[in-house]
Amino acid sequence: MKVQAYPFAVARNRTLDWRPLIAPAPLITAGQDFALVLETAGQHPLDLVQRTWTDSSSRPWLLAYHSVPATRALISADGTDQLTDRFGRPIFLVEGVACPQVRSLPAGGAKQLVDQVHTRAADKFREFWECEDEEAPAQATQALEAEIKDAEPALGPLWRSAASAAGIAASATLRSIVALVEARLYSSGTKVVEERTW
Amino acid sequence: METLDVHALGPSGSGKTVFMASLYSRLRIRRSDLAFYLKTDHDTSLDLNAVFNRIANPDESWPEASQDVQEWRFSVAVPSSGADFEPLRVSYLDYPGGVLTNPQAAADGRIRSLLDRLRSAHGLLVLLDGMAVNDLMAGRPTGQRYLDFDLTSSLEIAQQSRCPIHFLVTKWDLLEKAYSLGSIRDRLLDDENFNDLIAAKARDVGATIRLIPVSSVGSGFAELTPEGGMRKTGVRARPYNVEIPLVAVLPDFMQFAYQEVARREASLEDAPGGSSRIQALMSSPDASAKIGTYAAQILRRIAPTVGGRLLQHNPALAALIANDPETVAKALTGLADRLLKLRQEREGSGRAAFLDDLHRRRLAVHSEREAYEVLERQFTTILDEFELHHPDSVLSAGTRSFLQGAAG
Ligand SMILES: Nc1nc2c(ncn2[C@@H]2O[C@H](COP(=O)(O)OP(=O)(O)O)[C@@H](O)[C@H]2O)c(=O)[nH]1
Ligand SMILES: [Mg+2]
Repeated sequence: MKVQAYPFAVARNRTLDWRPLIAPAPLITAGQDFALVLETAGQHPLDLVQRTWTDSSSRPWLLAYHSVPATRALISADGTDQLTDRFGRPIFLVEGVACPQVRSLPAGGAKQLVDQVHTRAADKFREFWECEDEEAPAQATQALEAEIKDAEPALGPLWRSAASAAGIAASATLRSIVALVEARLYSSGTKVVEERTW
Repeated sequence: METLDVHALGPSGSGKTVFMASLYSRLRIRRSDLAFYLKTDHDTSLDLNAVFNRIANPDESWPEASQDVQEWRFSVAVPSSGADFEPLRVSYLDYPGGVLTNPQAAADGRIRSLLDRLRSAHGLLVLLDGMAVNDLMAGRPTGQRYLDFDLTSSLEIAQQSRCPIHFLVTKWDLLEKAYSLGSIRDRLLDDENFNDLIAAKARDVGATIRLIPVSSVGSGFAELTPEGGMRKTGVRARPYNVEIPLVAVLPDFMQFAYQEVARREASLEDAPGGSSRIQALMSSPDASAKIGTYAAQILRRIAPTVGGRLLQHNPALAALIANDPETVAKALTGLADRLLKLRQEREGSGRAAFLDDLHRRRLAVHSEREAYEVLERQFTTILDEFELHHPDSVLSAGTRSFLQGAAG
């Protein structure tokens, strides 16, 4: 299936607390990008995680991400020791993709997408390390469209109301038609362009 | 008894997570000198123990900064010779402190409901970062910046709430050698914003406000490095005063509720000068009994409708009353009398005999109600002694002034 993958990254620095550094443009527009912080909490460093999340307009998303220790190498050429905040707490960088209307990805496909985010996340982290501005917004990312075999679509509110109206467990064909319509509905309004830096 | 929501306010790094882990690790075990201990579910216990073990281990780094909202729920258990009774439950919200200052976070629905819950707490612990207080006392600009910027959103939430407030000076181990609580209190009250908040709260709400020095790790456990980090020295952790904020919440909230009810009654009767009427009520010879009866009446009257002005003003109290009016009425009835009597007993019999008696009472507990009374005795005793040793810790109201008001 054709998957839209928006890069995102969340981290902290010496003074600023957890926040998204880069985030899907539609989430920033809707004021929902902070959810990426709350959704990706865990025992860092995390191996590849896939988790589903529903935004406040009931749109389903798949978050595929991992986390890495933020090392000195990220901000300067030398040094591999982990950065800490001003209290001595270790710092991690969470990086991944947010895919609307997707329920799951095959592990290989997810890893490939997540790995592609690193350069961009690291660049942004380097800039963020010096930032002390509490109000600095996340940078918006646009979706990359990738053809991923065996990706499973997630069905949103349109599907649920259609299914309950029909009172049926509908056929696979009906599911995929509704998924298509839903994807179109949500993407109208935000222009989906291919990410050029990728 | 319903759950008391006791939540922490403070920017990232002020010590919210370390404090909770330390409090739990100290009170989870039955100790001979305390009539209660903290109980929680298995998962919470594992989580908090893991956090505290990491804190206490000199070879491990400090726990990571919190990334999501977490609710820790405890019950306060009173073990008797027959069974354990749990007359009180406490809930504590932990969260990334940055959400208080980051406008993007405030746009998130979950963060908005977190802020609502913080505002309607039964008791708020405002954590004043000991490192920042250290800077403030040394006259470094970072200290003033902390008051002017980092702390403002916490103070704003405290301002909007209607409950007792405890300011915790965290990381007391870094301050204890250089500064007294009194000098820190003076410096804080010198600050216009801080002073305004205390004055406004004292005037409008009347609930107790305290300043409590706490160290979640104790003297010598850690030291500041020249680069500004916090190095563990290898000295064993010996938490200091961590139980005081928990112990203070119940008596402070009940005294506050008692006064709220008295105020409500005063305004119902439309007497001129509401506050002088409260004074009159409080200082009349049979004040406590009278207010206790009033409390019971009022609670009975307003509980079913959940509509009165008191309830609108104070959602936390409203929730307690709506859920369990009888228990609240019982807890309030004769509160001042009971507290006065306790103090007299303690002073009359001496500390050791009083504690022996408390021990015997605990073993003989047969009901949740009796367990609640034992807790009340234990908490007020600890708090009374704390107030006596730290007179500078009361910023407004306090147990002593409550009792003086009641004794006339
Ligand atoms: N010296 C000392 N340092 C502390 C104490 N409590 C916390 N800290 C330091 O403050 C940091 C932040 O604490 P934490 O509880 O994670 O802050 P939170 O962001 O408010 O949850 C810790 O990593 C320690 O470096 C204490 O009692 N004494
Ligand atoms: Mg924390």
